[in-house]
Amino acid sequence: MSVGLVVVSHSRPLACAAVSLAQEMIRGHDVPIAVAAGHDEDTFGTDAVQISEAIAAADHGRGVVVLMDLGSAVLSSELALELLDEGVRDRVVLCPAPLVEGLVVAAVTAAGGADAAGVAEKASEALAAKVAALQPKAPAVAVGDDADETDSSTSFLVGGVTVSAEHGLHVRPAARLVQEVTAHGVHAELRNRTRNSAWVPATSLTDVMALDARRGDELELRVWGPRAPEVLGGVADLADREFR
Amino acid sequence: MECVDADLVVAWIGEFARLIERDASYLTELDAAIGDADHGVNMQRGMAAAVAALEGSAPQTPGQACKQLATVLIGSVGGASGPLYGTLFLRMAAQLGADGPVDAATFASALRAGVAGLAQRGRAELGDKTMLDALGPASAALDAALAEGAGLTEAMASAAEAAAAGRDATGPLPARKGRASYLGDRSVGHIDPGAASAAMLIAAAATAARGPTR
Repeated sequence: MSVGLVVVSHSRPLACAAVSLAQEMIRGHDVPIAVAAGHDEDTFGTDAVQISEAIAAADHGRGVVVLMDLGSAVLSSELALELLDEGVRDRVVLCPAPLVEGLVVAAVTAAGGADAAGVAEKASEALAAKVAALQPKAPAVAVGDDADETDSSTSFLVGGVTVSAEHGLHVRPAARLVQEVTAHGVHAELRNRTRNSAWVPATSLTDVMALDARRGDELELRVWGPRAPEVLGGVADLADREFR
Repeated sequence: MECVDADLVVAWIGEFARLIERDASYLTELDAAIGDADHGVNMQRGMAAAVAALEGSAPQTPGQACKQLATVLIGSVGGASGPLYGTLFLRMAAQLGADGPVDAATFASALRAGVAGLAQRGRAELGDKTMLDALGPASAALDAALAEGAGLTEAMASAAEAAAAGRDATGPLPARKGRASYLGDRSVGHIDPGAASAAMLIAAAATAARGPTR
């Protein structure tokens, strides 16, 4: 079982909708996600007792990452830690990520098997893709000198894929790609050759989304280790299916 | 020697609930000026639930009464005042432990621990225009009066005066914490609703200490 997630919000419908959105990204993966939101279906509010119970429910021994909306959601989550048994409290991370973006990244990262600290760290970077997308375009920067690359070229395989998905590598196809790579437990990096981007970890949803891959863009994937052919094959198949 | 027992804490909570009920619309008005206009309603809901819970459970020690109050407030107030008042009473309960009636000095040390917990939870300092501006001076005044040899009743009365003065002093301050801080200087001229309810809490303690049975 993966790291558990808890969604703390003033509004129960808001929390439940955010969970549905995140679950779409991790179809077929079992990530325990518990909700502690609102006093009831219609009344806004946060409740530390409810949060501590949700943490206990989401904890299967590998820890829990808590994502919150604002204001008293943070206070109540901190108080919830006080109400928990010490053993459980020590494996809980309160994550400063924005709720929706953070939850999506946290779910994908947790599904990939990361620990609580790793999930919280990735989730905290969840705004990066949006920030990059909305920034005025800077000229693309070519990264890595070739000499550097040839040094390690013996240990990895490179494959190319063309982005076939109609709206580019938006969050859902990106999440499928990250899952496919993560499932193999390999070190892999991705870059957008069309836009001459830097190599980024192919296991990071935030980084992959920041590649800003549009339909028709050529991506390069390099994979280390003996399972590289299998991973490249899997990703090529995925690309053929438009990342569905 | 005067002591604080479970009945006195229950009487305190009952009196606080009465004041909240009486002045709920005043608290909401204060909150409407600089917050989200729910402090009165939230506290009313929480304290009504607290009174009902304490009637059903008849706590045996002051610590138990504080713990029960904390649990109810955390679960029913909503808004930031739930976890803040909850933390105040949880820390008081921890300091009071399982003892039966405690002396005034022990009660004062519990209040001090509760106020310290509240400040830590809210990351607030004196002068931030928060509950702490009423509770900090109240706790200090209680300690000072007891140190000068005052009895519990007299010491709680001076704590209530300090809390009221602290509440009034929040008027000219710009808010630095919570929703009101989004308003910055526009919060100047309004009394902080949290400080107002906190002053009621200490006024209720003074009334309970003076109470008919004492």
